[in-house]
Amino acid sequence: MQSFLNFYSRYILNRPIFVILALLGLFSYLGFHARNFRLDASADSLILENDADYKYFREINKTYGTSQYLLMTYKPKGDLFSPETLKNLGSLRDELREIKRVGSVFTILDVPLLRNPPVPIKELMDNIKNLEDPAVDLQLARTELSNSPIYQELIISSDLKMTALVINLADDEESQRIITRRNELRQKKAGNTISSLERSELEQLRIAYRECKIRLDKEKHSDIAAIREIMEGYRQDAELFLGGVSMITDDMITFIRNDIKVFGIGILIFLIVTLGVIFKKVRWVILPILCCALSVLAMIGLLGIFGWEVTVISSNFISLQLIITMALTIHLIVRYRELLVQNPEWSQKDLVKETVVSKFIPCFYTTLTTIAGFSSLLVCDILPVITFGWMMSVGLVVSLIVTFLLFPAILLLFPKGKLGEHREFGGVFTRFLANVTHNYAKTVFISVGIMIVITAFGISRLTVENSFIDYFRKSTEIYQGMKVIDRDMGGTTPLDILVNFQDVKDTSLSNQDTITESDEGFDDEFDEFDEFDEFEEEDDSEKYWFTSDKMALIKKIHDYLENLPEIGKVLSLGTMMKIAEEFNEGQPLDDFQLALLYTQLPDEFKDLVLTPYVSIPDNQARLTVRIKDSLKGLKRDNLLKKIKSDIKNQLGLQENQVHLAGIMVLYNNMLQSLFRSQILTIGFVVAALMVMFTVLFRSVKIALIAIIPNVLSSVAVLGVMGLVGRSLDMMTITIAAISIGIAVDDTIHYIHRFRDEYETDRDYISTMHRCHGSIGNAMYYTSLTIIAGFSILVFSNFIPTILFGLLTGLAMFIAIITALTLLPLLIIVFKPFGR
Amino acid sequence: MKRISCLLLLFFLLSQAAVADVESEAEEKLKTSVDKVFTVLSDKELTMDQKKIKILEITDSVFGYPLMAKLSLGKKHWSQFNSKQRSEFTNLFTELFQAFYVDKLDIFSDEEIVFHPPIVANEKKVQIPTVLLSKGKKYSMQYKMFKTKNGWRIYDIEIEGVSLIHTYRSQYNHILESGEIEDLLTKMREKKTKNDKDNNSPTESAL
Repeated sequence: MQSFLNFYSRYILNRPIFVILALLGLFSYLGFHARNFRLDASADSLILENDADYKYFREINKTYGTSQYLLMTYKPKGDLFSPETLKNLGSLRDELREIKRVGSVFTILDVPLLRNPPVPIKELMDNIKNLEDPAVDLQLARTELSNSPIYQELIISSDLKMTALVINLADDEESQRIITRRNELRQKKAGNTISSLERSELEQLRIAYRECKIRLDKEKHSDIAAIREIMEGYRQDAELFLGGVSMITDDMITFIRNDIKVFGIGILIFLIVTLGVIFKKVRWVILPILCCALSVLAMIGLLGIFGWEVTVISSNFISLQLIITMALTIHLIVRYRELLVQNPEWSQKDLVKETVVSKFIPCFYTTLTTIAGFSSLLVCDILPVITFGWMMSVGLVVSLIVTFLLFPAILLLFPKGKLGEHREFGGVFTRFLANVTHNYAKTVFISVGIMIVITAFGISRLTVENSFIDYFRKSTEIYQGMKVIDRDMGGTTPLDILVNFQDVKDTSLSNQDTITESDEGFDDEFDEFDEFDEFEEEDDSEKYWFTSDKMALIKKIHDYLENLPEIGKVLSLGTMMKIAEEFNEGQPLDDFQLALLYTQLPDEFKDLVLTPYVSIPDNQARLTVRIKDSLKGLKRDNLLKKIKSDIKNQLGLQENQVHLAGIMVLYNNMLQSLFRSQILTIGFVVAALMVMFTVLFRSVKIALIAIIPNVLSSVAVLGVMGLVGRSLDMMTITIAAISIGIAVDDTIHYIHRFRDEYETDRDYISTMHRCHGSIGNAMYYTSLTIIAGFSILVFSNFIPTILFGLLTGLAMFIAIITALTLLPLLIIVFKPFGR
Repeated sequence: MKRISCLLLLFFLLSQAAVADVESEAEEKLKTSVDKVFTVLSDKELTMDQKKIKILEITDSVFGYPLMAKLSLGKKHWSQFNSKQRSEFTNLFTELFQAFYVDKLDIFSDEEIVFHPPIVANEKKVQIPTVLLSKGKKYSMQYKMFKTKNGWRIYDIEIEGVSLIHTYRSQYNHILESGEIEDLLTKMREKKTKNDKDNNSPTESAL
């Protein structure tokens, strides 16, 4: 380390201009690459790493196809079936169809009405009308739509006051081609059968996919903007909301972009003000801001180069990096000013050199410990959280390098500061805490004891249930649209129930001789099955797949699902069976009718009512349901378990016959992993810090003293969450580890200084007062900056980000209090530096 | 060469004659039955129940129930049934098929059947394509007949490409693949009991 510091002072501190120029070149290069910086809000960005259910979900999507669509709800001020409303709906639909990438728009006007008027099935095909048909009977249409097992809660609400338009977005051929080929090659890679040529093709596909995705995101954004513009023209007649996964991801990207802008600029402004208030000098504003801004710029450039996409979880990396870089520079400034007071005769070069050299090791360690905090996120299972961990770990290294190169290089160009021009800001606060520590030790310990009890109680009440809708502010269209769809249009979170029918048993024909046995009433020649091999040949024909037994089973599952209060719309073959029964005097179709229906059904109807719900080659049926995500008291994990067990126990299917898939399962897996992730990350960070402290202070005793206040402050946040009834989510689980990682910096600085100061008079109490008066102030400034900085996150539209800001702020507040009370108290009591 | 050609021609003519014979015999039998059924159906003096009884009498002589039962199980499953099970199965199948068939008669009113030239598979098997005209619409129906000791019998009917026997076959397959022979027989017995109970409105499935 010493040789490194020698190198550092010889080559860096002696050549400030050169360092600045070199950094300028580097920043220009990274700034150039910053244009490749991308945001991602797709469903892929919210899943667990290596989730087997995700793999299954992708296979299911391959079998049944996925279509991107948007849902627009339309609630007219007047009657939905009035001629004027229907005319408006028609023109809205026609305008939407004009948008380039809109494949089709399906509305209440287009649905085939089958009972207008009711006719025998033989006359049905000639009798199908829609709402735009001049001969349509609106009253009958109203009745049919209100009872329709397929349309109700799909395109019309049960109170008939609201309708929904399904806007299907056209598939992009290029992306389909890339995904298909990429999946083929990935499979080969997984099976180790990939050639080197294919390996490079896979790499090219990765780049091509990224470019394609960027293009698609842009196109989707402009499509959604166009749709919203069209919607504006209809707002005087109706209440409209736009929903659907495509819109949510697009809006989330807008939110992230907005958050990054607001947080970045907001925190920068806040830092300028804070630095101005604390140090009251232009140089102490410009210098830290330069370090912060350029660290962030360098990081954005690196993200662009590596192709790391920022998700909603990592969207606050800029604010975090700004805050942490600021904390680093504050420590340098405070140290410089101390040195100036103590050694007014020193030259600027000596002051700067001593500042950075004396602060390098503690800052290096504090950065390492903060990295430990962020890298603990790598051990959790949630992909975007892992990426966030990587991103911040790299970001911290960037900040450390930039700060220790840029800060001294620029400061060397400034003249030496004037003596006595500063007065310690916040001295009252640290003095107060020093007195509390000195005079009220018992009170401190009792308070900590009470805090531990309350925290334990709070943690015992922690849950992981959270509704996706509640992630958004009530004022956002995502929230309003999802709420309406959830309540009136059959729920939001999709869940698939896949039912596998028994495969053909491999039965040998060993007793074929019985075939020739002559039975009563049989003609001998009938024993020759070979005469009728036409049946054997046609056994695999798709039309004979639909048997009444299978349909009865699907209907049974369909009805079971429909009766669960948590479930909104259910769509399956059972839906079609219900419609068919209406034409069969309420009786289920027999096997022959089923086969006939299959052969007679036009292809476009098959695509609509069969393809999404059955895979004949897989001997599998699929029931799709939507869960009412905003339902109070919804317990996702229990619901999924209940569905599986009821299908097995009440409906008599075997366990391996039923699979659950879809966003609901993936989302639940993520939620269920939160506890595990929380425990793992805290465990990792505490273990890592213990090791680091032991190495740094060469004492297990000091390491324990150092870790206790930090663990307490971050765990207290979990207790508070439990007490106020907030569930853990993928963002708030990062708080504990991150806040330990950041708060521990203060502890290191404090203990480091305490050890040095202790040597002066070997008196714990007076050392404590001295430390509070010096490093305590730096700790106070940095904590204040961090708390206030995090509070800017409340301007986000994403509720977990707001909570992250507030709760991390709270953790930092508790951390500074414990660092200036409990920590010195533990040092005084246990006397780790000798008596 | 000429001789060979002559022989071939003679063979062709002979086979044509034989086929024509097969064709006419089977077609004749079918046509007669169909005509009889339509006559009963159009008899306004009979109630639907009376019509059904009469029609069953007519069709019993043209449907080859034992063969149909056997084909609906298929070679693999048939071989696993013992003779008692085969016999019970055949009886149950016959009764359920009859119930299914007469149930469909309700929807017939003023339909007409047009016969097309039969397709002869061999001297024992013939397919007779027909078109059912109903409300100006045409539905293809194919009667498949087999020559038994007792004469020509229908062993399957295909309506719009859907084989009746095949629909039974896939259903029985599904049950037998997920259960035992006794499960199938129990289901058929239950269905028969239900049909007997409903009596006047025989149900729609052969099970």
